[in-house]
Amino acid sequence: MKKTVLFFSLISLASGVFAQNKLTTTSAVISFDATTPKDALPKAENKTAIGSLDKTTGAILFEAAVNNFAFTNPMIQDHFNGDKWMNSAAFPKFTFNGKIDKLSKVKFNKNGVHKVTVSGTLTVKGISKMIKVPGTITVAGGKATAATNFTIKLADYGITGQAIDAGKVSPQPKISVSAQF
Amino acid sequence: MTSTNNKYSSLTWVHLLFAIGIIVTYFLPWVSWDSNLVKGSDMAAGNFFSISNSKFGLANPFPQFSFAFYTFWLIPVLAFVTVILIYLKKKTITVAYFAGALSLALVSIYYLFTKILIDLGAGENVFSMLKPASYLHAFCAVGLIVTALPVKNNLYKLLWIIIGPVLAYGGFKIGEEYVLGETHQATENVKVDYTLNATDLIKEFTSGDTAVNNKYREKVIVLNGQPSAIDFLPDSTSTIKFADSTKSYAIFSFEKNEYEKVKAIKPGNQVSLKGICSGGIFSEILGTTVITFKRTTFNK
Repeated sequence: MKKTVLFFSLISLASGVFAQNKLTTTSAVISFDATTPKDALPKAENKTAIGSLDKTTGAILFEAAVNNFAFTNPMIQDHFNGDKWMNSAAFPKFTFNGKIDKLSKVKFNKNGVHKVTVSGTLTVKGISKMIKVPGTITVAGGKATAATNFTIKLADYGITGQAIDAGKVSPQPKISVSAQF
Repeated sequence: MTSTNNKYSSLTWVHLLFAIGIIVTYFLPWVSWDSNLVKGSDMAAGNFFSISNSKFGLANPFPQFSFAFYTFWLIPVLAFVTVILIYLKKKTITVAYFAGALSLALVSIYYLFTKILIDLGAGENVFSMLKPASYLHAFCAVGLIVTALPVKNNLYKLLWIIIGPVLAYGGFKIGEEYVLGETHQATENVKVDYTLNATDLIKEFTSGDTAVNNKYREKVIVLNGQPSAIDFLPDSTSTIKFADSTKSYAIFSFEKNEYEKVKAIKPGNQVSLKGICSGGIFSEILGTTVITFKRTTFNK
């Protein structure tokens, strides 16, 4: 009986430790910028993305509801979510599942800005592609903030069309992510 | 004199053929939008924008002026009146010019709108999407103006040929500029679709999925409850979250102009928020259901 209690106590303790090592946020900001010199409208932000960062393994994950990217123009908002583009009804979220390379360089217990490289799988419209992006982990006042800027090729995710060919939508939108854990 | 009469007679027959051509081609398919055939008569019948809306999500930007499209019923009517006038050996010039100009305006609208729909995946090339009946209709319209009786000088005819497309192009560009410059209506001014308690909404989303998403997606919702968390982002925007006992939650994002109001709220306070529901997703990271809201504000 004592051994059983001890076993469950250790399990609980271990869970607590792991929980502290896994940081999460429900207010990560993801920006999507597909503007071109011809069209300044395809630009949006999602401020309710979910993120997690595991300080021990370097695992870093994000999820964002496609339909919660807020565009200023109602027509562009509709187009973005439509069948021919992101088809948010069928593919309601973007996901990223990756890992920080050379995690040992990041000191989570010390204030500072750490340049990192993150490798992982980005899934857009049901298509998953490996990507490798540069980023920073900023530690300040006991809090970690992850940030990155990169571009994706829409064609890699099966998104093509006349609007891209006509130069109204960038074929390689800029994505920026900022998550305060 | 005989030669002139014969010439006049031939012109009358050609004029008659153009009038009949306009009537027939008006009711034939003019364009194919991703295999959806749209007839010339579909604009006046109200089907033009219902097809573009249901298939490509592009509705009539000015529904308050939908009645104006009934004007295009004048095309077959005026062409038919032209046929009657020819039979009665009367002057056709006025009705023929109006029928021709309206026809050319309508063909121009189909051409311009189809170019917009190409951006939404309706096809590849506007000229291959337009059907032979639209080209034939335009040809008959020009022919009807050119052969209108009695024959007027060419400059006058040219003016009637170009006036329809010019007005259509001008109107279309004004509409396009309006649509591209449009912004979302302020949320505080939009009609509420549902008023709910946060826990009830979360419960509904956790017990269902597709049907619940279809019910609430893009609907204006007033949500009442006690926030479980409030986050302030580095750019002075913020989020307010309502969570239930299973840790599933609804989250509202606020712009900078709401910062002071959000700052005054503490977790546990009773609040009433209004926003556009983006639907729910299941978070693999958190193992919970997440309902997100955009363009949110405080409910007055």
